[in-house]
Amino acid sequence: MLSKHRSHKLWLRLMALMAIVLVVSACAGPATQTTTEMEAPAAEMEDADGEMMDEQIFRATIPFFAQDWSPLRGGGWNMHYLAFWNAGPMYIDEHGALHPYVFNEWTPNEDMTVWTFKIDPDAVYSDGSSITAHDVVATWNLIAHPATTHQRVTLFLTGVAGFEDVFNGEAMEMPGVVALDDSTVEVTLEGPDPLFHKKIATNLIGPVKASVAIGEDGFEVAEWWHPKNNPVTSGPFMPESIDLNRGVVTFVKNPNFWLAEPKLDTVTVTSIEDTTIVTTMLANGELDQGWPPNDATSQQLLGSDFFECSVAPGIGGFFLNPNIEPTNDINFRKALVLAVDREQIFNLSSPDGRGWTPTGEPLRALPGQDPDFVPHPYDPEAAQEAMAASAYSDAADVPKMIMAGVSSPGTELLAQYMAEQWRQLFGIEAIEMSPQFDSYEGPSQPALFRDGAGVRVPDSALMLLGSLHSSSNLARNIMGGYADPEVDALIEEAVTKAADDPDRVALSRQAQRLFHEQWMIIPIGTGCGGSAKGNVMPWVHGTRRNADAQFLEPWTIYIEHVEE
Amino acid sequence: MGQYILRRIIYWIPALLLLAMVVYALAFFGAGDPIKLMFLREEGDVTYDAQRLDAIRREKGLDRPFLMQFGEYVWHLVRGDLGMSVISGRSVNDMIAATAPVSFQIGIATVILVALIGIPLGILAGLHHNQWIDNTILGSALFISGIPSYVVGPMLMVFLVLGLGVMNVPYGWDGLFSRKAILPMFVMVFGSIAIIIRQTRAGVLEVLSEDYVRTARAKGVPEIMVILRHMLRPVLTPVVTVLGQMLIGIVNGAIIVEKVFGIPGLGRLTIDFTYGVDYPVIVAITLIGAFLVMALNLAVDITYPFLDPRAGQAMTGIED
Amino acid sequence: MTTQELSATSGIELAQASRSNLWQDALARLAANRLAVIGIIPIVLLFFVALFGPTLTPYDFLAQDFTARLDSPSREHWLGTDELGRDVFSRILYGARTAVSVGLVSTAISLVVGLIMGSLAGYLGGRVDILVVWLTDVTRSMPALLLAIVINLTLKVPLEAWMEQLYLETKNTFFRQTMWVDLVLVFGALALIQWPGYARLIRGQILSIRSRNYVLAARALGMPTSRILTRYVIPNAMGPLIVAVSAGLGGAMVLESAFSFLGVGVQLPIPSWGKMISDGLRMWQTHPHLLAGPAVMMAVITVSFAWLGDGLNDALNPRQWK
Repeated sequence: MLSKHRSHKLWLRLMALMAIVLVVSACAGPATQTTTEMEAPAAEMEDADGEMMDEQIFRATIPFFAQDWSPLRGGGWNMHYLAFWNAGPMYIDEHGALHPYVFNEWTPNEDMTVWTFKIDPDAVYSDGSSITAHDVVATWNLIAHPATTHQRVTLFLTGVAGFEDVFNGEAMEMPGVVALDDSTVEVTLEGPDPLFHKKIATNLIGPVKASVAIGEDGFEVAEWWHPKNNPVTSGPFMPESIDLNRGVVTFVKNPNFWLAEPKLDTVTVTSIEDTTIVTTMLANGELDQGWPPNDATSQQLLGSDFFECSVAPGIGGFFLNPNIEPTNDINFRKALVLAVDREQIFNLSSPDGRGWTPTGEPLRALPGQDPDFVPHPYDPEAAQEAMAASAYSDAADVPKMIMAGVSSPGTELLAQYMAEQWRQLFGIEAIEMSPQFDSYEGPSQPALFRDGAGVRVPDSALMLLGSLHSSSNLARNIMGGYADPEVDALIEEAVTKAADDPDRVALSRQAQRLFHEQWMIIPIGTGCGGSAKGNVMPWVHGTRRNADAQFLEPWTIYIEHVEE
Repeated sequence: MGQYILRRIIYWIPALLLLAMVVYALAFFGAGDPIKLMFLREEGDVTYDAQRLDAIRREKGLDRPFLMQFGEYVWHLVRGDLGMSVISGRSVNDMIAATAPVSFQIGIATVILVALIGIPLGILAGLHHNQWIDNTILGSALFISGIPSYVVGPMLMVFLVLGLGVMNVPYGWDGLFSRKAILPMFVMVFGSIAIIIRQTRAGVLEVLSEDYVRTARAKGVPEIMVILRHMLRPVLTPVVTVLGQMLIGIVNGAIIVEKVFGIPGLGRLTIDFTYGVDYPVIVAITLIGAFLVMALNLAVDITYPFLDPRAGQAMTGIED
Repeated sequence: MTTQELSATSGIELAQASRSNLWQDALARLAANRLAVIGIIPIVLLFFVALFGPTLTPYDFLAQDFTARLDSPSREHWLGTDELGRDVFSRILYGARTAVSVGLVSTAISLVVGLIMGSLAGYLGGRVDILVVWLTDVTRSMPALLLAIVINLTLKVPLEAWMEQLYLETKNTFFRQTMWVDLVLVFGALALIQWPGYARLIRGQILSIRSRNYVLAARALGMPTSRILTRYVIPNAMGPLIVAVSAGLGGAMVLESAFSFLGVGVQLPIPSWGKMISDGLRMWQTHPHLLAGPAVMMAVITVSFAWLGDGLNDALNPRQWK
């Protein structure tokens, strides 16, 4: 009886404890939410659905739980929105034309090894202070350094005197970047580069205010970009609140933006990983922009215009590794390539038939596109002949091949399609499909690797430098250390030619031809550089995107609901 | 008793440390390189090479030997600091402090709802063993539990938002008592209730055959009194244990519901930072889970003798 | 003391005398349980299909037909075709093999480990008990996803490299069955996640049973530990264990599908219901047949296992033998 009594009390206590924990945690919950103010205008929008609103809100979303909103990373999904809050040196529009931004003047010296840039006297940060040459120098030194983990800095600053030392963490400053006065930056290159000014025309290396972002030790201040630390930015908008746990970031108008007054009042970027949620929210008018998969369901709900695409340079595909078995055999590579029908690849990638059949030409859609380029055909018989001529005429001798980078439902389909062709034609069954992008060495080195490369400046030589040259990520990592001395020499010569020198294109085409004859890639994709207007709903106007994956002139974007 | 509890709690310290080391080592040696993954998870023309990765590792102190890094971690841990996230550079303490309350709210609310709905249904089913009520309750509960929550969640949402148009997408989290919480809570309860119904039903069936219940029934004691006085306690003892385990499971890993509905809880941290192999975050989440598991076991072991006197003798057996 | 002895001996005799009838009674009770009987049918079918599935399928589960992409169910393709024009019905049948393998093997592994650990803990007590309880706690507090990812990343590469090596030496195609590597890894992860549940269950049962009067009496009478275990403890713990196993079989399949949804699972292009469900989920609004087939299958099978388990529990529950 006694024990029963005690247990009763215990029960009561346990229940009371649970109730207390519930109350406490319920109270603690709202306290951690700092963005309730942001929800209010959103609700207002929904109430007056379909009407032109005074409050202009652009609600964007990324399919990734972004934790790092520093403008100095040069990568990550959130970098698609960098143009909203960070001004670059210059920018290139969707037609390839160069526009001034922070820099409004650029002049090279005679032999194209020293470039002088002038900062627009009107260019100011969100706190009203001028953008100075010292900020530019400090920012570029900072992003070159490994501690800042900028993901693409080599694309922009390679060739600057002293870049390598900083890049490898052996120095803190590049002697090649100097502030001549408050508004003049002088860049000394190790060799001639006629297109250096276009290379730096990107938001990914826009200057940040050194006194705010850089500590006394010369490194980036942790979370200086977070609104709680009163950051200073240079773009048309500035961060108002960042809730990393909920994945919601809110930007508001930068009152001091020098070029124009932004039409939008607020920009929100929400992390939503589940694609069904994104599609549903877009269809329900709760989002204005997002990256849903381009499939039948999304097209039905969002309208096919949502995925409107424009031709964009770049190359994508399954790249073959010429340095491991069995893909080191050129006949084997030839057999694999010939066995795949590019038309079917296109049908699988583009359910609405938008886009272009992939050709595997790196210079496609660039001024240097080769009119004589003949894509590899789909020819099962020739494929079987090539296989018979290879060292692997007996399918049982083929070592297992790993297809890496099979990371999305779309690429899973393509990989399975290709594997099935090879199984039917050659009897090859030992293929492993791995979502990983890892393991470039050892027993799990992939024979085929799905990836791609684009180019920010519409230029043939730069495109090849970033995709076929042995220093590029594609050659070094994706193609398992592809290094063709002839190709390298042609590209290295081409990049030194002036932009309008016909040799620049001619040399590039020659390099491309050599590469093409080596059967190195099974091209995939639709030739679209993503959506031209950035996957926005019909009521969003003025969105344009460039090859830098940035929204162009985001101050021109506005929302207008049109009654149907 | 007090001494016993103290001793159990002292046992936790080496357990937690060893667990931290095992998980840290698993992530460190087995799961990949967070710096490399940082670049690999990025599509397109990222540029890096082994030298650059080494340089970044050096800058972040990740090139040091395992024991040194782990030692540093433990040194911070002892002083209540869970370290800094490798990927985001944020303080793990802040991340946990912001997300754990949300997970607790969801966990406790789910457990209460499941108990309130599941236990009566289980008793009802047990009392009508093999009759249509039993078959209906058990059959539908089990059928519901057979549908994965990642199917139920999105389908219900699309149906309610686009099909019926009765609500907006309940994405995000405005606290437990907001409209956004209804659908995720429904999916959570939906997925967990069958366990409780079955457990309760099985308990009732067992108790029904006990002599004292038969006697009470034979004596003509009203059925409701029999249930309240004689059956509830023995039936609920294992049920409460299961509820506790359920709570831990939800707090520590409502990964799918948190991912689908964008709830800023521990589950969402788990999935993102596990894929990114962020050691400090993974270890922190594991330690929270371990702490909860141990606390629950202690609570169960302490209360067990009161609830089931027979097991008390066995308990004393453990203690010596 | 004497009365207790007496009652104990009579209890033992009673138990022995009625043993043969008990199983028959249990069977009769099971047959009376309508849900359990209904549940048996899909399970028998599932195992049949898992064994003979590949020979029963109307199409090769890998064969692609680009003229019939995303077809709705028709006479040619009973459950329609997927995005690559593969027959969904054939893939579901083949997927049954994956599901059964995952369920059976992972449950078997975790059950064996759980049985050993649980009995040791429950019967020996003391330090062993503390150690086992501690191990279960530690295992349970690790995030399941982390375990699965780590196992996938650490064991997979060396295991596959070793098998490929063996293949190139022997040319025995068995070593090319990478599906088994994946299955073993998924099983390993699932078994690691599940054994503590079984261990704790067994331990709890033993603790409760060994304090019952007839076991105490048998001990007092000097019956060896092993006989007490096999004669009283294990049979008595059977009911709850069978329920747990039947739930575990279904649970393992559901867990495998959740892993597939999160991106850690059986490798393409081997069909797994989990992968088919998570793929079908993308397009269910326009092509519901892609989701409906595997999802309904999964639900039916897990429910059948659970119904059967509950039926077995009722039938075998020793407390109801009186």
